[in-house]
Amino acid sequence: MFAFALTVLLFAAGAHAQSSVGTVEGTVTDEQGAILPGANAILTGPRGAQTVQTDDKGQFRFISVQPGIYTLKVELGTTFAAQTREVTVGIGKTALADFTLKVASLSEAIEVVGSSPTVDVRSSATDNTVSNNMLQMTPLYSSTATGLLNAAPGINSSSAFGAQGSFGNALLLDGVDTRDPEGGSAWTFFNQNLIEEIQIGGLGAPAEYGGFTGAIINTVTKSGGNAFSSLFSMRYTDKDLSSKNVSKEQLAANANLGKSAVLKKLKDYTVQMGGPIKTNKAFFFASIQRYSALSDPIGPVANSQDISPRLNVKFTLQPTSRDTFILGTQYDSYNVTGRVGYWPSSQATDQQTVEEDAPEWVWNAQWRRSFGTKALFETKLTGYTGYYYLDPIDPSPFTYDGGTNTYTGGGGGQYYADRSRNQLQVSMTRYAEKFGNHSFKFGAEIERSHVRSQYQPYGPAGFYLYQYYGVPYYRVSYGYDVQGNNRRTSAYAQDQWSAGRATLNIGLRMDHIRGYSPVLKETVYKPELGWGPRVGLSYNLTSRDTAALKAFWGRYYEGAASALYTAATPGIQDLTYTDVNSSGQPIGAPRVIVPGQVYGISDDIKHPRTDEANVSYEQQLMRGMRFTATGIWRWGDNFINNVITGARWSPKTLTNSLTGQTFTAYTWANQAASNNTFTVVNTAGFQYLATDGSVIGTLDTRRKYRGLMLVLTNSLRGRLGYQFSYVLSKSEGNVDNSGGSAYLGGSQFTGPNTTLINAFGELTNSRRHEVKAYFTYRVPKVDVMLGGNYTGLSGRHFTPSFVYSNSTLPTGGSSRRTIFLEPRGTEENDFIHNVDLRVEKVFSIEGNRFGIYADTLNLFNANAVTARQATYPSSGGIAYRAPTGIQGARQITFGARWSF
Amino acid sequence: MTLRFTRWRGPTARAVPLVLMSVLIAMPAAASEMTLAPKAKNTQVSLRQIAAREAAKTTLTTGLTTGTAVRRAEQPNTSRQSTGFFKSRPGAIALVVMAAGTGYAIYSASHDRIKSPAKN
Repeated sequence: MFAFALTVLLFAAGAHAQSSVGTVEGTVTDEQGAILPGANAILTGPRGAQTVQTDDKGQFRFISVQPGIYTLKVELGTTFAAQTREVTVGIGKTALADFTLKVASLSEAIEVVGSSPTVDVRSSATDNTVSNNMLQMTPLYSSTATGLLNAAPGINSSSAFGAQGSFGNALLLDGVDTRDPEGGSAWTFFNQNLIEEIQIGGLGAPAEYGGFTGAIINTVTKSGGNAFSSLFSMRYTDKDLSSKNVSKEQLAANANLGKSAVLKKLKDYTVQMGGPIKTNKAFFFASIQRYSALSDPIGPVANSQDISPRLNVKFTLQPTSRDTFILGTQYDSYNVTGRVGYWPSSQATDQQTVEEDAPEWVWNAQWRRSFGTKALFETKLTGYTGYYYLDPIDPSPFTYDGGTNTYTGGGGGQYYADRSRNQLQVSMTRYAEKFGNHSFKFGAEIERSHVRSQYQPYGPAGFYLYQYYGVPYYRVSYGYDVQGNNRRTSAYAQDQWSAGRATLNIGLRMDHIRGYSPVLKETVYKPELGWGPRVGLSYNLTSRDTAALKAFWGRYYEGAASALYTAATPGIQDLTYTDVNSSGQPIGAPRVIVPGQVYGISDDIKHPRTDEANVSYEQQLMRGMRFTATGIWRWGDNFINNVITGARWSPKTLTNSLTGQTFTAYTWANQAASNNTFTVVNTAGFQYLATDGSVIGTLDTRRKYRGLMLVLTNSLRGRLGYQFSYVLSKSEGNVDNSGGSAYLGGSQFTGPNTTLINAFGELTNSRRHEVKAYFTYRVPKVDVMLGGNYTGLSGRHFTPSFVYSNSTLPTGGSSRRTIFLEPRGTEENDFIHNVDLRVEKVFSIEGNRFGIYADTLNLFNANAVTARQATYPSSGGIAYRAPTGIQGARQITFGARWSF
Repeated sequence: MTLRFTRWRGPTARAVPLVLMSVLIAMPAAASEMTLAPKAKNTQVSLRQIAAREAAKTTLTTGLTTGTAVRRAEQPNTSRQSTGFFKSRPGAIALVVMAAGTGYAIYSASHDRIKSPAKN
């Protein structure tokens, strides 16, 4: 069977499989250290108990253990006193539990209770876990994986360890990536009450993990067990429970802040039930949620409402002791009204909004088969199909007055996004002994996803009317309809080789990525094979498995994204101006301002990647408490973006309006002749040329991150639980880590003004200091739970910039003449302090837990400035450095829940 | 246009990862099963004999081979482990709440639904 599986895997077309189970293993000895073969080890969890016997080395192992808390009992007849121990099993982790049995007559107690160590002394990865307990007991709440990602150390604004905020993270649901195949943002929303456990990793990740340059968030959802269990939960708030926190000074600097966003009404309920269909054999879990939130966003729009009914069903089948089948599905219908379309939020009214229709189906089928205690076979088929359509309430075209900066008419913003994603994963884990203990794993993954995005920014009419102080000038038309199919096959092989106290984690991953155009019916994106070696070393410092020193080097390739190549496919319309008469009616033919050309794409292209080195020290300080110190270095490479290969540039001396110094900028000397030479390339090494062919400058695109992460973790399960982290870090480079345009197809690299002038420096999401603390405390006697979190965070960086006029600096677009006046990232927003608190009164009645709670977000109603005007001296009437974003105001939410 | 070349080019360099991967895949197949136990340190003969006797009893009782078998043990039943639970008061209430929540969510899925004109 093993040979068959091996053959299947070798012929399977590739791989990247992430585990959703863990392992428990240990050795049983007597008090003199003699090994005890034949002892029974019994692991009892929610879906029954498993028993194995220790082998000739006194060793036992449970594979295919779903994450959770288990009781592990070891017994050997009546001579020795049985012992039980609590074991916490994490995703993809090995929980070590060694037992020393005492002779029964020498031990007064029959059973000895303890818990397993919290340090995984074999893994080279540095992971953080968000347990169900933490989600239930603190006011942390999000319906997207990226929202929860930000709870982890080193990750803020979805930027993990300096990586791209909107794209660099693998968002796994039950082990399979579910992000948007266009640009990598979260596509599948879920009910937070579904979560059993979240593993947030990416540092030192073994070869089975790929498709990311930031972090991995692996969310494992709940399953039914032998006992019926339920959760009924409600959350409620209204506008009287929200505060205002904009100060007079902030308001004076930017009047638009005066009407901050308010959550007017929140009604969110969940009903869940799980239990046995047949004891020890078959289980079900069902969850229904209806989420409804009515908000008053910034600007004149008064009502924006999200309504999302969501249904989840999951079956777990264990027909034999070796097989586990999981079948799950989710349907949700995400409906939004009052969403701002094309207009700026400061001007759009309820009539200039769009409606969102965004339903989706998600499916997940898994089969795990264990071969004794030696091998585990896993296969998963997961996918989703859905769409996300935005339609303006008023479909009529709008008019924009460039003199008064005002809009009238319809709201624009029609956008149709269709997505489907399917992923097949196969993996085999094999335990063996040869020169030590080995845990081999190898597997394959095949992804096929489809993207179609249709955008009419100016509404169904396809144009807007431009006028200047009431005088009509021309109609502006633009739009696109692009498609792409991502075809990714990956394969990996890895080994965890333990000999004595040392463990070598070695692996290699291969990613074969192709971007196919269904319109052209050809493959347009053909990067080189991505080879990702991973080498890690872990050294167990104590005989009790309570401390480890770890080191790692590895290479991660980014996931597949159609946004990397759709510019090289048809579907982009021309940007045209059509002259109009005094009544706004068109006269003459449209003039092409920016041709909607199909970009070229380099045949010699390499997929984006990040190299990482880290060193960490892990120490269990006392029961359930773990301290981790990690030094992290990351370097990005193979950045892809657009350049104009035929462009020639002429120098022009300008004055920096902020510093008064003169500098050399560049005009596009041959725009008409080279306007059709936009090309998608690896930007590093690209040369900007002068009109005589000489080199003005060569691109040195780079991004690097350095960080020190200190984490103190407690189980959050006793009377007092806590998790404290501090991260000192810096992200530098000239490829920003905020929006996607710096990474997935923007205009930054199409001209030298934005790449050669002050382009290198500290990136937007560089957070020098980050403190995150979570705590839970059960007040004795009164049965009141307190749970809260504090976040202290350096502000995001920004750079003063000036938009030179086209007559001063003709570059064929404002983005190529928006020039940094100081080195990138010299300015920083306010340091943010935020405290959230939950107070819950608990009633426990005959196994039923009733809780009534109040969450207060931003308890002290702090008002740190999160964003400032970066355009010098002003833009849209807002002066340079004036606040444009403020920390969310205090909001109180009430909740009630009943669980058993 | 100048495009940078990486170190991982050329047939030799490409062959290295292929060989590495082949070796890593082949190693599990070549690796042996667990071998006989080496002589343990500080072994006390009497205790080992006792342990061996106990292990033999256990094996005879369960019919399992050491180190290789996994089986599920029966768990004691509790009141929530049978469908009789739903005849109890909490069980019946849970069913009613579940049904009400499900009903309203299904109602919402059809009545709150926004339908894009492009999908009509």
